[in-house]
Amino acid sequence: MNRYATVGYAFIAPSVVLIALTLMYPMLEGLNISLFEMGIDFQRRFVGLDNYREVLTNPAFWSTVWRTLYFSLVSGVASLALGLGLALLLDMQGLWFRAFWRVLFIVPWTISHVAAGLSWKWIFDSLYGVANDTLMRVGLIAEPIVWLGTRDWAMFAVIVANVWRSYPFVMLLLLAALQTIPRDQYESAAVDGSSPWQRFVYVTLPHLRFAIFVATAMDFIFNVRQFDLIYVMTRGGPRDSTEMMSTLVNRQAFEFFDYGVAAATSMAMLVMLVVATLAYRRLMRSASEVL
Amino acid sequence: MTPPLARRLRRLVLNLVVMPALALALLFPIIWMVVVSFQTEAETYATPLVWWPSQIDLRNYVRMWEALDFQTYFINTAIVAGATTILAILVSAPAGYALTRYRFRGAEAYGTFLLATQMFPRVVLIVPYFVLMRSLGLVNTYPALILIYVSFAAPFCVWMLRGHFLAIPTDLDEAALVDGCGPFAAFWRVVLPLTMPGVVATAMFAFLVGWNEFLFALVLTTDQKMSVITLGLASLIGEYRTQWNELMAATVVSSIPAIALYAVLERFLVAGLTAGATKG
Amino acid sequence: MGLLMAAAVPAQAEPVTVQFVDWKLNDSQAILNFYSSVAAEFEAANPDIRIELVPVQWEQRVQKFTTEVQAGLPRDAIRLSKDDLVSLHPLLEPLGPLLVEAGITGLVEAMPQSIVRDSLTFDGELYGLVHNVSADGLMYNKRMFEEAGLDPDKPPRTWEEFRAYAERLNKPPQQYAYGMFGAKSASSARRWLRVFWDAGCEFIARDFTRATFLDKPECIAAFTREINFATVDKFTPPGAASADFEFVITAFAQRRVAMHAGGSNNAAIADSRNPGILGELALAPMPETGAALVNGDVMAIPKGAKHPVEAMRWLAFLNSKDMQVRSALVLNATPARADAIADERIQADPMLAFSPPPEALFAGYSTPKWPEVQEVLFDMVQAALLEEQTPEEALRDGAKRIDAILAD
Repeated sequence: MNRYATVGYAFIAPSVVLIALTLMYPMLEGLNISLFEMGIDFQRRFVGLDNYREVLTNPAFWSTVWRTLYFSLVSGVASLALGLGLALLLDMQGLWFRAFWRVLFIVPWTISHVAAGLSWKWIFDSLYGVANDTLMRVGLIAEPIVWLGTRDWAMFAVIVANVWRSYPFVMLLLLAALQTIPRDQYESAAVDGSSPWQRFVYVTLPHLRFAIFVATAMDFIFNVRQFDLIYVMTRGGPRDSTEMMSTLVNRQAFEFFDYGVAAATSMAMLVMLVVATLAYRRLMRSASEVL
Repeated sequence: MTPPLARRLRRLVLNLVVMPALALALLFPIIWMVVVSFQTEAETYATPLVWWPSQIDLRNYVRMWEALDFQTYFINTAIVAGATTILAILVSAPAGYALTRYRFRGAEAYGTFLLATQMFPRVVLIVPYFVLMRSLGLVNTYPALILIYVSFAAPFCVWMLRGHFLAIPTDLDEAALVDGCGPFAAFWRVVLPLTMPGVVATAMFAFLVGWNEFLFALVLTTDQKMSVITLGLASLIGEYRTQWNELMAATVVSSIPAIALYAVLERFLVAGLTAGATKG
Repeated sequence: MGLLMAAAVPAQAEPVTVQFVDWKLNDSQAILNFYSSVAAEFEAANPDIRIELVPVQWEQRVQKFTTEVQAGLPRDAIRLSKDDLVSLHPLLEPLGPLLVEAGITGLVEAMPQSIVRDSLTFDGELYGLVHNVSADGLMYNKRMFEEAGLDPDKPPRTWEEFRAYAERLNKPPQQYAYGMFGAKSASSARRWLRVFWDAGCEFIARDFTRATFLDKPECIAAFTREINFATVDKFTPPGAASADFEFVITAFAQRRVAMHAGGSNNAAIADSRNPGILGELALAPMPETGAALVNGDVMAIPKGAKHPVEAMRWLAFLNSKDMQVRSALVLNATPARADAIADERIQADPMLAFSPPPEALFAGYSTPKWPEVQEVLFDMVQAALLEEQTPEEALRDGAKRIDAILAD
């Protein structure tokens, strides 16, 4: 091993030690439990891959996988659009009170998921919520919409709440990345007579590519893990319309006390997420030489 | 070039129409939270909606802060989130730097592994971690929470900082090394200060991981004196009755430290650090 | 004075601390004050025991409890919901031997046998003491009855009458006759089981082997009638599939819903949201048989508790007749003990004294599979409320899934 690599290992050493100390044992234990039948009395009975067979052959599991993917992707695209748009606005020349706006738009990120979920549940209440009240006053709808009690609207409502809670993170990451773009590149582009749109596509976007990858990949992981917001707003209902992997695992563990099955579902979820992330990284990498 | 008149018009639209409209749309739930935090329960549930409290009533804030002991929760949460922020940056910055500057075996796989550790549903990790902390005698201590929160934040922070290290020309490190700096000094004294915008974003992220985490705090604190804000918020949601007004007062107050921190750090979110350095 | 106090306590007897975990302590300052004063009274009478009141979050009470027992750090005593014990009793200490060891007699005998005690007994062992009970009646608004030209002192006695009343009370979109609980929660599960119980049907067999709600046509008819109140008659506010306790009680407090199935506690909550409405509210047995599922707060001792005997003494103190009466007045819940219900302080409040006919009460199904069965029950209810299936289709579909769960 050359000295050069040794330095590299030394730099990552603190993070390795940390993960080994805290997460390694719980993750291996999770893997271990997934091979056992374990109920409320915590007695373990080895069942090999039976839990995996039970999980993977259940059609409800697969529909939950697709639903989680749908929720996460739609939320992710919306958060990216909103976050990127706001980051560009907040970085625009000629913006007054820049610091004020930058602080203001970050606020939803600081609200706890539970409080955010409860507030959105109130906003989307079909009898006395503000969403219906406003839409009816404006004349966009004649009848109140049953937001949380119908399949499609319930999904819409949890996505809106989730995007509201997560766009500031994307915004901040991209706003920070915008600061790394050398200003002289804009100036030379402006001198070339290019339009703002051309400058965005040819100067800004290429520089943001890595940040967009990190922001969207992280946001995707947060979305897949999102539990509190959905649980507070709909508990996965009505029927299975907003049931996600997170609410499913929680139910298996803390309502059915089927710890082995909950662990197996988690492992299956982990594998799928890793594959999805690797594929996404490959996709982004093929579109850019920087990554 | 855009003619000056059109540019001025565009600027007015941006400042007087676009920004206020966006703020109103996106911050509407926040406005409502603040309003409810000043109301009485009867006002909150009145029909038609009461938008303006009959008086500015601070009782919810007083009750939340004193009777419900949010004061203690605040101190605990601030200690935990503060330590999480500092440690997460200290752990993740060198790793993020190494992944951009040093080609070593397993570097890519390690980056992916770090992300993978965050894809495991936490409900499954909670009991083994509790058992682990119990055997170390750390239940009901700050380190139990700080350690796990750093583990939740740092892997993401590595990725967040990585992009910022990528944006800094390698000539800088090389120049530092030629000048006789060691590899760590080149990273710590020369490169890291230039990634301030990235550090700000990362610090905010790590702080909020520590500030808003719920599940592990729930299980790892069995003593009320060690409780944190998210647990305090959840305790206002009862079997039959959610104490809306206190809950919203607590939510408003608990978002202030993060906002204040960001207001302080925001000034470092500026362009040109790199450009200046290369010229110098 | 200090010297005297010190002399009264034997020098070597360090008091034992009993930790009592209770979500109610978070509910209001009045409740916290009440239990603090009870603890002080107990400590005065038992100088060798100190009580530490430990509040817990309602939603997370089960998760917190199970992880603590699993990690080997159980508390000494805990309040649970009666329905929790169906799955959680393997993590609790049987109370029989502890009662003997603590020298407590007559306490269990004071609890009503038929419903409450039996449902807390698993494999012949008793696992909990019932602190209070709740059983739903028809909660209605007398003022809204009057305004609709109905006699507020004559609530509907049959489902025919109920329908006739509902038609007069129903003035959508401003006012609806009936609040229905279609969202997932333990309390709405009890209300749907009531529909079957009222029609004389078991939901699953008493030996927990199969679904039995298809056995008689009356069961299907009862379920269809209840669903139709929402989907056909439109007696309920739109969106019954997502209507939870919060939604219904708020609509009821705002006089947008005239009737719902609820207990005395609901009246108190409605009054805190709309002060003064309490005087308009009344509680009567549900139409037809008055059927109701019984739930209540249960006090138990976690497995592996460090001081189980001392904890037993504390729980016995908390469930004496006088304490049950006093706590009932603070919690707005009916006491469990017959002698406590008969107490004049309880009888003075018709809501607290309310009890459905004893023969119409039912405690639910004590099988560890119940949480999974209940999940299917919600799915059937919501499928029918969303009109994705007819009520009968939903039942037939659900019966197959429940049979599979119970056969497993």
